[in-house]
Amino acid sequence: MCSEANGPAPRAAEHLRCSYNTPMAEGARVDSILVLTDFKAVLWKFRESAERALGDAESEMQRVLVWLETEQDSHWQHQIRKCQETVVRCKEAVRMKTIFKDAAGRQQSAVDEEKALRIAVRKLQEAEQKLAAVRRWSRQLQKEIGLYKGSVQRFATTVQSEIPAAAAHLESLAAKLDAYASLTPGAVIGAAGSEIVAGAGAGGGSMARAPDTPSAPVAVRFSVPPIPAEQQRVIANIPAPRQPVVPDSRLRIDPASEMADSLILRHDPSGWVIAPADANTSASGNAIAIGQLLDLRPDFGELLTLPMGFSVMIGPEGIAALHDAGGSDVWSEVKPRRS
Amino acid sequence: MGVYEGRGQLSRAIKLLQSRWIETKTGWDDAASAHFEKKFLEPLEADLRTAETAMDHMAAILNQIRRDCQ
Repeated sequence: MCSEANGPAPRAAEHLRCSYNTPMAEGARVDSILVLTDFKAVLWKFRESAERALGDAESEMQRVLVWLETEQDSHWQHQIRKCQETVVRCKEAVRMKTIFKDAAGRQQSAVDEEKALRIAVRKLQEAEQKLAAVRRWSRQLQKEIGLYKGSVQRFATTVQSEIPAAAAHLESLAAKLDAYASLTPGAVIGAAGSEIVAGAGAGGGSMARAPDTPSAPVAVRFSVPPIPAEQQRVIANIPAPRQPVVPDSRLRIDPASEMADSLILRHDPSGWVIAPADANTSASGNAIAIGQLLDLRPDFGELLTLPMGFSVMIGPEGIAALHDAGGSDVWSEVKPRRS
Repeated sequence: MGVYEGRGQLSRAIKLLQSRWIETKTGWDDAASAHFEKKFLEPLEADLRTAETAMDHMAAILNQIRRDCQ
């Protein structure tokens, strides 16, 4: 199905087996970026075919309507006039036969003229029926075209708006995979919305499918050093209603967090978010299981029990700031004093 | 091309789309592909069936008109 046979050789990255976890928090699997881009092309081709088919169908309806209202209407009116003239001539012929006697003074036979008259009358009736049908169908076809348009409108709208949306969706997925594929081996934070898992692929170029178990290895790397144990103990003693960490629940990590010197951990209504301290955190980011993060950064454990609304800034020397849901600076009150 | 031919073209186009989607799913088989199918392809196919029915009806009407008015 792929078009690579006819095109340039695809980049090696396009043949990587990539895995990521979707926002639906289930395992995801895409063998190749080409799978997505090829189907996107199929969608566009379908859209082109569908629009042409709908357009051609509507054109024919309009052509038939115009044919009825102009060509056939005038055609059958003309036929009726001709038939009426024929009927008149035939009637006159019959009348002449019945009025005038032959040379012998006998009544002439009008059998042939009467037969011709019957034929002429029948043809006139047929023409009148045709004209009536033309006018009836003209009205009916207008109604049917309206009904037809109503019936195909949903499909036409789907073709016009949903197929581009579907193609954009595929494009977005392909871009995420492409962005990941351009990272160096070992770097594991993928594009927005995906958590890409380092696997045992040959040469570092292949990414194995993310294991379904919560303990799947995730090599998220942060430049920020671990939070000192003393600070972790202080955090554990902050008076705030704690929420137990659910290992399978997800948090989002801004891809730039990996290289940041300082991080913000923020407990949003949708869950925890990790982002560089010097960037505007957004709702987007890589989804990762909290349990997997804690396998790598157990020093985040106490922080992640803090309730919604709390935010923590972590720098090279550990906790730099900690604010509660009301925005109060909690850390300045509880932080360990240096001797 | 008219209604009848357009109907045929649509039928062929959706068959091609469906077969390519089956191929695509062999390389993209996960929750995201299932979501994509449910969100985009299933409604498309349902709407197309309605459109095909309307086209069948219209094709029959146009044939009848030609017979009645020719």
